[in-house]
Amino acid sequence: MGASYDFRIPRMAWIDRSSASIRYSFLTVNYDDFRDASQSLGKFGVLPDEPLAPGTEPLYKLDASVLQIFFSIWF
Amino acid sequence: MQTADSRLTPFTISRRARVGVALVLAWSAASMSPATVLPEERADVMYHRYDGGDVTVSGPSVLVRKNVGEKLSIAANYYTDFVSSASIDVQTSASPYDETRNQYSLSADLLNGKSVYSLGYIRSSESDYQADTAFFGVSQSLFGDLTTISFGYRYGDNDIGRNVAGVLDPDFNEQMKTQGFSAGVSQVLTRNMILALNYEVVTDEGFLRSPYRSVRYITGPTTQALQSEAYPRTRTSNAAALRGKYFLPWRAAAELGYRYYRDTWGVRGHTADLGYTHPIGKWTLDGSVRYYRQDRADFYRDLYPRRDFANFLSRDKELATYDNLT
Repeated sequence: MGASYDFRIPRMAWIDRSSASIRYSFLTVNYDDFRDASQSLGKFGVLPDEPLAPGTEPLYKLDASVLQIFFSIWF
Repeated sequence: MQTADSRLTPFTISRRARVGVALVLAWSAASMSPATVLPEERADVMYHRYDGGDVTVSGPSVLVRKNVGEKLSIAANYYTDFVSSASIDVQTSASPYDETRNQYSLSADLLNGKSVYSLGYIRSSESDYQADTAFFGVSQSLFGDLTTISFGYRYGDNDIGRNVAGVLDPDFNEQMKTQGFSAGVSQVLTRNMILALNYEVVTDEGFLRSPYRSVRYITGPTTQALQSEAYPRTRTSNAAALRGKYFLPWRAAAELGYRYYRDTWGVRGHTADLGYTHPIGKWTLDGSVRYYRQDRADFYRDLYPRRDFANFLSRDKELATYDNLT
């Protein structure tokens, strides 16, 4: 989702118009055949306390957010 | 390398693998306009931040577009990513890392009658990767500006290195070349509706895998080991996209799109998206939802039954079966 606001900048006649905008996205990725191998191989060389057998780890899931803030002028 | 999951704007071309795709989509976006005209003169400053999967990517971008006379438009773009990664791939086979990725581009659009010729160059560089991409495109208005057709070509040259303990390995240097061809047509159907169809073929040749990623294989009932990935040295993909936009009386617009992707590695991808833009005084609000689904590459496996199980081996999650809701 996003929102932008158009405005004039005083004493800058060479700018036809300007706007400030913000955009935010949230995304989720679900893998069908990619498992969280850190639960068997460990993280950065450190094994988990109770490592799972390979192939029995839970499927990996990724949540992410993307933020964009921008200022634009047209001249 | 083209990715199957792509929906990018010129401002989001941060990942080296997607540079060329973004270019082609920039042409595609132009083909949604009802007539062949030069882009508007403008300047943009942006801050972007991605946060997910124990990876953060943030940085600034600046875009300036200026006309020279009445027939030539010049654009320059600078884009930086500050990357901090401890992703799931890094967790299992490497150490967390920080790096900076810089990208510069320069392009020109020349208006000649009812045609616009586009030419540009992009350089993207980071500590272990440099990508140079040149592109050319042409769009032509027909039938009283109700129809616009466009064609594009790009060529990319990528130098791939490998960092070992933070230092570039002098004995490792690989290349990858990519070529992309695109064609599109947009048609004004009614005074309120426009439809665009775009098609793209991309061929990659050379070193197509990551120099860092490993696959895993079973060595016993509860044990496993790692070995390097092994990829084909060529990949060809085809993608077709259909997009419609309907302009509503109160200056709002609704947009609907679908894209189908397939490649010679067996990846199949479907993307559907729906968007709505609504003006309220000096404000413009927009929202969109997008769904992507892909089937895995033929040689991808999360876990192989033994070492050297096949000629080609991959555990890149971007080649796995997954869906993505944005």
